Amino acid sequence: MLSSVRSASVSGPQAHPVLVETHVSNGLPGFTVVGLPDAACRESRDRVRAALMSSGLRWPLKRVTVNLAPSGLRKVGAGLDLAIAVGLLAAVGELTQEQVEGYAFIGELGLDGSLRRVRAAVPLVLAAGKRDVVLPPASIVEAAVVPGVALRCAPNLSAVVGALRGENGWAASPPASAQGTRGAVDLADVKGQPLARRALEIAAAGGHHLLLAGPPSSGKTMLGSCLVGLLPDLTPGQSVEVAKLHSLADVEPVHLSFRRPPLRMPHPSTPVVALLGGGGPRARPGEISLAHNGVLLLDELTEFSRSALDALRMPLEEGAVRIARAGERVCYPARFVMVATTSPCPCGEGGTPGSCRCTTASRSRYENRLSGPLAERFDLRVALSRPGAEDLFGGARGESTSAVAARVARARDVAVARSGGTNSLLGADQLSRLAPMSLAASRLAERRLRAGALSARGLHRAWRVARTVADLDGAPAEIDELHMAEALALRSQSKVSRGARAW
Amino acid sequence: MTSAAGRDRAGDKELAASIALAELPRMTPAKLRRLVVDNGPVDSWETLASGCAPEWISRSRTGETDLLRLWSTAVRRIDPCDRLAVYRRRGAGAALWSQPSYPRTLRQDTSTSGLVFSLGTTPLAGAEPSVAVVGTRSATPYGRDVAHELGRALSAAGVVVVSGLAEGITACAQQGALSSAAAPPVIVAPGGVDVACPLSLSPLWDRVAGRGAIVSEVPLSGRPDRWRFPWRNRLVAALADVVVVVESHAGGAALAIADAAARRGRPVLAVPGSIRSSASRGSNALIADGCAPCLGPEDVLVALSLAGQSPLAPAATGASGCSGAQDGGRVPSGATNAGVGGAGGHPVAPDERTVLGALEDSPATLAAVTGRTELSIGRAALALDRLVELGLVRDGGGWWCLASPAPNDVPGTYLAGLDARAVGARTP
Repeated sequence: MLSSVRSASVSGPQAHPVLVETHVSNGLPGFTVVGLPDAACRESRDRVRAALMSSGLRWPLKRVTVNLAPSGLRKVGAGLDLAIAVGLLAAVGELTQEQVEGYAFIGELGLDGSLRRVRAAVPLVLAAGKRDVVLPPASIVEAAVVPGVALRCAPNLSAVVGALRGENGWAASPPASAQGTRGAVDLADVKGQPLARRALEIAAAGGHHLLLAGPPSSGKTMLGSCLVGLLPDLTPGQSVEVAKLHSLADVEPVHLSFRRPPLRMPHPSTPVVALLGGGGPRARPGEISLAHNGVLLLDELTEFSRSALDALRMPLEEGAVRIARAGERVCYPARFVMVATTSPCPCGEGGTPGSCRCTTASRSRYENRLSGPLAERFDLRVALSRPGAEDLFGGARGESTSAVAARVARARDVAVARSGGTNSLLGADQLSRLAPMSLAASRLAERRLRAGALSARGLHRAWRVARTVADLDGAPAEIDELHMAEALALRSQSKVSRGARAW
Repeated sequence: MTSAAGRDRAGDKELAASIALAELPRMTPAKLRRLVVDNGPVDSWETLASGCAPEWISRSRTGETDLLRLWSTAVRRIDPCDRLAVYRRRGAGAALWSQPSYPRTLRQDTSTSGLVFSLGTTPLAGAEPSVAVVGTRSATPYGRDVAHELGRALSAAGVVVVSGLAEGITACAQQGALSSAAAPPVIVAPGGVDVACPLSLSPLWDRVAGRGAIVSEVPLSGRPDRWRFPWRNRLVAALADVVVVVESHAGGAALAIADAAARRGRPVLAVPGSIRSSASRGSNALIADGCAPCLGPEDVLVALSLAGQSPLAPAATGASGCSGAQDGGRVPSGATNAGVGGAGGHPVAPDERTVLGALEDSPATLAAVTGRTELSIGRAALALDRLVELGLVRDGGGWWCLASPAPNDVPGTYLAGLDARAVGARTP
């Protein structure tokens, strides 16, 4: 007797649909699994047998052959346990082929018949095709983000069999945990720092990369983590992308419903392979891919190794990271807003003239770590100073995250309507067409160019930022002089330390 | 300050011997003084060459026997006449204490070595008064401004400005002294006169070597090691008639120079600074301890005449050269009165007027300006831009402050001599 049951398996960065064919015949009792199963997959036999017996079903004393098609593809992991068990039951006659036809079965079996969580649930569900998917309860919440698929939950094998036979319904899915708040820190909790708040708003509205430079305890990290709260909710398509990447990387999901953009804050000692991706046997996505459609916060930029910072250049340029490994080439998306914090000098006081006590050598060494192609990618560079006593204890409460986020959302909508993406993605040719400058603004830019304070590439970057500033300011057709002045002012702030010394 | 070249063969011999003695390993100013001043240099050299020990060595600590051995081997390798020829070839001068080209202020000093090397010509041997302008490496724009002003005014008044060279106050003082085409400045080097230290200020070093002089007690090619800096500081104090401390952190090297000067009975002046600024903590402490405050170049000139060293050329541009005269002798800071409408009569817009008012108290970043004036970022940035163009406000890498209306100074051009690399760091 033959049965075929649908499932899916992850190999490398991809998930593939798998057809589990089970053939039962007379002969010496045996159970063989073919189709390049890996060690965990081969052990399915013992797990399935124990699960069947624990569920009160009979283990057939026949010759059983299980084929995991496509046979040439390596099958990894224990996620095919449930499909093998159901296939066996269908081949033996406990279930009919029609009963199992419209489903895909994904799950690991425990010896007592319970269903266990599988890794990378989201890609598996995506690969299982347009049919109902039976999943263990622990994986249902993760995979719930995938649209257009009905997810069936069952706590153990006998529940699955009962539901398939029609004796009982499917179990209720466990509820998703509470939707995470809009970022852990509210912007209103940050005291003072008017320039930095404005820069955050601009960075969120246009997707521009931001550098915050300031002495210790000036609130840089706090401000950086506020940015993710200002970004709008993810679209369904973006949610699925983010969920897929998180699933592949096997990261404990923080916002289980993946509606909010992710915030990744890698530690400076993170190795390059964990930052970019490609580690592990399955070429897992790295931090930058996990930050896709979200924010990558690099705290203490100078503590990162030079190789890590160099390696970030290409993904920043292309919006994707290409990983070439022995067996395969993988390309993970990596388009994020980068926020970095740094001190102006090793002692931290370089921002105030006359207070820095570093030697010239240590200072130039420190600045060299910051220089180079990565430093140019920051369109907004803000110098922070320590909040004064009146800021900390009195002072008007600044705008809250939700107020600013509303403005950001409006500006983003305008930008998307104009060019199909955020302003940071505008190409040089698109700038003159879609973001014209008023006469006064172009004169201001020209003055700066002549004075040597702006290069041609710098001009384009400032232009994009100016367009975002204009969008936040009611989106006039032309960029005004004030917008350009603001964009230029927010570009050059963090040379404070170098300038204060170079007098 | 080239030595009495070739005319006095005995003098040449003495000089050659002194130079050779100075080049012995582990030579210190105190030891060199004993060899050169207490004995004659030629005698000392011959004593060492013959392997005998000068009596003061045998009297001193153990461990000096190693020194003697070191010296006797070194003596055999060095040829004094050859060394003198090398110095002459490289254009470095040397002056012995007994020669007329020895700096006037060092004549009575018992802690210097008795032999001073130099590069370039300097009037230190003559009757011109000399003033040391010293301060911290990490200075505020105010301090740099004042140092530059003092350097310029004093040099214009015919006073030789002496200092070590480091980023910050001393670099600005040297810049100021160079910018007036009168008395040349002098840099005291921590190493040999041919070793520029710090490297980042090499252009300034070369300009001073061209217009003024570099002096040192360390022979040519001596490394500017850390343990030579205290000797350099003492030499700065010894060379000066008056010492002015512009800005100093608590415990800065400038305070050590002030100390050395006080020990020699030279007057020390200190420029007062904001009590909130850590860069003025040391200089304010000096005033609290009894030094006279320096409120402008005139105070320095008064201190010089009280010390009996009036400048030979009374300041021709005395009234206007010291821009403090506008405010009755105060160090220029309040440019608003002169500035608004004063820069060639340009009309100043209301935004710009507000920003000027905000900058009156102290330099500020853009964030502080927007905080003080309630203008939006764009308007404040535009206003600052226009004010910089008009010359009323100066930009020091993110900190804006009022530009002092010094007549010879176009704001920003005196940066030209400083490290072009640091200033030329443009935003890409």
